[in-house]
Amino acid sequence: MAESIDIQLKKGVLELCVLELLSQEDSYAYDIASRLADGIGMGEGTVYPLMRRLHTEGLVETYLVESSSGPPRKYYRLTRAGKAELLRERSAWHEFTRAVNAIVGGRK
Amino acid sequence: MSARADFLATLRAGLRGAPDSSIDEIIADYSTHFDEGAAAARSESDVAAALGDPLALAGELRMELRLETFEAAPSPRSAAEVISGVASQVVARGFLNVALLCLVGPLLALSGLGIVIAILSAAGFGIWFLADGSSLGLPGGLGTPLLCGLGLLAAAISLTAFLFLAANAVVSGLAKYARNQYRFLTRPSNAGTPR
Repeated sequence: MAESIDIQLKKGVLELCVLELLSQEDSYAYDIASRLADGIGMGEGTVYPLMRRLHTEGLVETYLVESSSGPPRKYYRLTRAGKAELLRERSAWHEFTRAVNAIVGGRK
Repeated sequence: MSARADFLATLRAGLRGAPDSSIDEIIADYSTHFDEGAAAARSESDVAAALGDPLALAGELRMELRLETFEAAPSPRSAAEVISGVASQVVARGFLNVALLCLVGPLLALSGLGIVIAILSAAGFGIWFLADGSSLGLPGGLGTPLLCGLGLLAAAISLTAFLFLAANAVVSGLAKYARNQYRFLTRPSNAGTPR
């Protein structure tokens, strides 16, 4: 059974969305997960395997920040490679949407 | 059992076989997620529902750990782990994929075997030329068997290198495929709004 197109599209842009969020400000997994769940309806649990992978690939690095309530939070920040990857993915995204829009047209 | 304990226990069970330190790290991550949810006044069952199916998550994380191991230190063993991980993922995805796997798997194995046979015979003939070539009475004197032997040995060595490159490429390709397959779990429709 093929996945719905909706899910396939989201799969493709998930990494871009996380990199984009982190380029705005450093963040921790719970916050990233909530924002992605709000924004594109992603399952919150998915952020952990994704952050693991981004970390392995050297696109993000972590540091601990003391929290007023509870244990220290693990913050993620983009590395230089992560910023370069974001630029690449962002321009690929713009190029792609422009090309698709030209075909699909602007009808509402 | 509480929704939180239930989720974490299922996740831990699904991760069985992974290195203990990685399991602890992952469980800590998800525990923190529940803590954060509680601090935001969400119920445990709400957080658990929004996280998704713990067994599916465990499957993703296991795969990711295998890929990490392979990429950090490519070896026949870590490659085999990746291959078996992808295979079980494919099986979980239904019959058509299994049929495809049954077709592609043996094909790859056969071509691998073919290359191995080519390497062994090139090396064998190469050694034979070098050891016994003078008795063949080939034109061109002793230089001919010597050059033939050396040429065949070089071919065997380059084929071996090619085999390793190809195997590495195949497993890396599998890794890419596996990552494209998971990387996204839909949010369950019954999940509440986070925060």
